[in-house]
Amino acid sequence: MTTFLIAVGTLCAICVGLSLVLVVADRYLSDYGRCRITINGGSRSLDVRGGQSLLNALGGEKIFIPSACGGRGTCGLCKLRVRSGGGPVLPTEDPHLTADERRDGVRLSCQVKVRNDLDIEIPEHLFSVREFAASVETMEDLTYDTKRVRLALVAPPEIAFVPGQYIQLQCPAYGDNPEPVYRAYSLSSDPADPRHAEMLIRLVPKGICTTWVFTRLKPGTPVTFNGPYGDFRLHDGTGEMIFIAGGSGMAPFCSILAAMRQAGNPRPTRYFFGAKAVRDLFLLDEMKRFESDLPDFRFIPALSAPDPTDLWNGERGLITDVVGRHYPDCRDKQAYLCGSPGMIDACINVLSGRGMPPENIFYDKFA
Amino acid sequence: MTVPLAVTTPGAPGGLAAQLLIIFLAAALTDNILLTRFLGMCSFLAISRQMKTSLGLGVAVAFVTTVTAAINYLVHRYITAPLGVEFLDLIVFIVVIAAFVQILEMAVERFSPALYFALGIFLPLITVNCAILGVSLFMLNKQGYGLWQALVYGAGNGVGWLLAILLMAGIRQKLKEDKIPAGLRGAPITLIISGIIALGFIGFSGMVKF
Amino acid sequence: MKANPGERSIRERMAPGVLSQDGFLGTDGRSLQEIVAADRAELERAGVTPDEVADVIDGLHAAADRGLETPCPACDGRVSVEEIEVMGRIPCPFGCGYRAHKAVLRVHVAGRVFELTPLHAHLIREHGFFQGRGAAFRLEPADAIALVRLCRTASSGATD
Repeated sequence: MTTFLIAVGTLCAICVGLSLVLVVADRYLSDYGRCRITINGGSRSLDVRGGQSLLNALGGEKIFIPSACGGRGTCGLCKLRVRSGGGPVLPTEDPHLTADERRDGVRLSCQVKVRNDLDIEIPEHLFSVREFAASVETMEDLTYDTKRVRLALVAPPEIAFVPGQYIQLQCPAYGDNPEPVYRAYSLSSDPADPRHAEMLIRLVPKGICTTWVFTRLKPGTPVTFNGPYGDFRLHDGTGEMIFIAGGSGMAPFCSILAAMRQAGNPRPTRYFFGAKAVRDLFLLDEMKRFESDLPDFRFIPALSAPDPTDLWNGERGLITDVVGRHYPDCRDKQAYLCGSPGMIDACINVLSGRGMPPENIFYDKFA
Repeated sequence: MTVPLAVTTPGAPGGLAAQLLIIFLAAALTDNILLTRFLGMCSFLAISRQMKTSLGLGVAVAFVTTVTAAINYLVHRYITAPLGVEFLDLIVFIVVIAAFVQILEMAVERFSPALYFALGIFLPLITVNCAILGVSLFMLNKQGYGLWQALVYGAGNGVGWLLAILLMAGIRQKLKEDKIPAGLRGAPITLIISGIIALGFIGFSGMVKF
Repeated sequence: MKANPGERSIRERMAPGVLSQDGFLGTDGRSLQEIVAADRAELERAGVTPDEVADVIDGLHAAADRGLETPCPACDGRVSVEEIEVMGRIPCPFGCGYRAHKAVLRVHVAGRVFELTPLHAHLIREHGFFQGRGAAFRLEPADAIALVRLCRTASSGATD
């Protein structure tokens, strides 16, 4: 009996002792001090405790890299480009990386340990992605099939986004629909008002989410969404900017124009809005206000099939033809497009046919 | 209590230095743990493809063997033996080796990242290298070993293992695998080769009494 | 008819609210094989192949694409088409991996309006599936045959 107790006691004592030694060693040996993580060529830099995985270090700084396996190196979702300081690729990362990715320095952030200063690249949109709880503040009919939905944020109370970005609105299970779905909508709100999120939503015939928006949403309805996402935004330059969008494609431009007004942006800007008839036009007053507030902005609606009763004497024709007529030479201009893939492809054809370099054409495809 | 650094055994010729040299050579060559006892085979088979990685693993094993032999000697002499629980030696040794390798891994990672990346997965692999546990256990069978003898015995065995894996890596690098029947490629041919080398080493066994 | 496991998962995806608001089966109680076989038989009697139907739908989509949501003529002006394209893609419910653009093509023919989607062309061409009776987007084989005949004579009209 005594031997038994001694044996158990000894074994426990030894194990506890060794564990203590390990804890102490971990405390001192795995202390890499503070390390600096430079993100996207210096646009942001973090000061983190060394010795942890890059994924956790970023998570601690509220930058959430998608990861499904929780850092075990099995899902391969947490890929990032590590420009320097990541050390060699580990065998655990190997199966997840293609030859191209390896050449570009792509790594699994859960496997890269922060041992020294790192220089990494993170897709811009991941910086501020959050889940928001909000409630519908107002719903406004813009046309027979388009609504402006304004959400008041509840938690977190504010959203920071770059004008041009979109959010994913959650459409909960309702009626026959067994599970929630997410649909992307560009934000049309003024970034200077971060307590609200505003979208332009056009009824999609038999669409799951838009049907919900049009039939079930009322002021006061609680909704959830996450975001912001996307890299559609204004780019630097001096030449004239051509915006092209019809229908709910106007949303990102509402936001962009509001930011331009805020900044007093003097760049010459023309917004071509394609629609069928007068009944498809909306927010004309707001566009008028932008015209008078901005130094050099003009809103040019173009109707492809105006009703005789519309008494329309503005631009006529398909938006591609109207843009083509306005700009015989697009060489030194920038274009921003938002709309269906068909519309965007047609516009790109017209613009590049008139000499616009492809790197000057930015678009947000509904696809 | 003082640690007896050396316990001179009656039959040992010469002084301490000579005795230690004999222990070292015997452990490394005539009593090679890998080639005469076939311990530590799994990593030996898996890693002996290239000289460079073999050297890295071999050095790591040699180092861990040496240090754990000494630590385990102390654990046996001052903890398990006085308490009369020698039957715990096996379990305790395993735990000690695992903890030591953990600490070693942290230290290498901290102070020599280059070595850390060169060793890669070898360090954790050492934890389960039976040669290391074997050395600590065989040491207990040796009569009249002090701390010095234990340390040198560990070092000798470690160097012996290093030597064996380097030999094998040298051979495998020169080996043209396409001349080998498909069924024998890889581990089988390595086992055959190590068997042939072992024949040579076993020929020396018993030459040195220690 | 007993549904095999493959058919069961397909039918689950075709249920309302899973991939589309109204689903693909409508009130049709027949098995998928029965639906497909019945519609194929009707096409065969008229001497029309599923490929021809799909080609006509693709052609109408291409014509509508040029209109950018504005109605425009197709098949030598015998039909008028307009297309509303929306965000996202819809996967084929048969689980073959195909993902169609989400769009609704409205085809105005002789006072009638058909609503077709890019998924129609795929379903008909690859799976011979015109959707179940009562489904929101079912294309009746009789209508498909009429469309094919209309556009077939239109494209060869110049040589007649």
